[in-house]
Amino acid sequence: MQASGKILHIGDNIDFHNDIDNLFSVTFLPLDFFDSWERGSLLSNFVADYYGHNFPGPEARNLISTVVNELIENAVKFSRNNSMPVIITIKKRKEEMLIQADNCLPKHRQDAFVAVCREISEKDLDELYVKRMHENLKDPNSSGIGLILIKKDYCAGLSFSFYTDDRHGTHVAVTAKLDFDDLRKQQ
Amino acid sequence: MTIQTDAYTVAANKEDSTVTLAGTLRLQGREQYQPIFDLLLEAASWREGKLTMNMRDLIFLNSSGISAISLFIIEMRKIGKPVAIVGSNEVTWQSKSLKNFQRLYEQVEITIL
Repeated sequence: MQASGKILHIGDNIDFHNDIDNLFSVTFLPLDFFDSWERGSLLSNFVADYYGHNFPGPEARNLISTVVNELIENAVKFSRNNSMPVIITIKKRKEEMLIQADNCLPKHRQDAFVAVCREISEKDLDELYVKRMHENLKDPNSSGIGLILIKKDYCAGLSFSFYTDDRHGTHVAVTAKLDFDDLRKQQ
Repeated sequence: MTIQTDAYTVAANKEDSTVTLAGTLRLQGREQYQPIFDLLLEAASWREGKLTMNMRDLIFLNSSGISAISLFIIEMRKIGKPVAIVGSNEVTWQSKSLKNFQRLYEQVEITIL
């Protein structure tokens, strides 16, 4: 998507462009998923199976599929409009997988989502998880649980880029980085 | 008492106060998880003492599912009912995320086999 105007970056610095071995991208409408929610799981499992050649084993498959699914669900749920595209881009660089979900944000939720991203990037995530779960009792739409878990439990790098394009308004591109070298060292 | 679809099974056994969750649980949100939440609440009301949740064969659980189970755990904390969660070390989300339930209630016992 062609950005215009200022770009706001929050979170980790993730290089999404250099030394990429391969990539693929899928574009869909949130409407597709509201017709058939299982498509998210199908797509996530496909990505995990496709990269099974590079990152073999059930542990890696479960990890990749889980992170991709969370980013897809997050993008679909927080899209501005069911008919505006969500773009999922998957890249591989050596022992890293980069997973990006790009969606248009509704105007009235932009500030709230920026605040969620700042919290995830700056706060103690164990405390934030407990706080968010208690908020969830009152507001089932309290957001960001999936993103908190990706960063907290899977040690993934996580970045958020907010930008504007003339056609669709404000977007957020959420990027997760899984470094399998680091993950193997933790085991 | 069982909820079964092509993707997942949630089965409650009164004899041993155990709820077994298996398959892929990636439902859309709170509303879709309500039947499972209700089943858990009912299973918790059957007997005194601990309720066991066996998740070893639950291959995927999305964050909406983690939220729904977290809310159930908070309900158990309110009534002081202990919960045992059994998971598998071979399922990545379980080895990474099951511990979160313990942060919500100290009487959650996690066993990862």
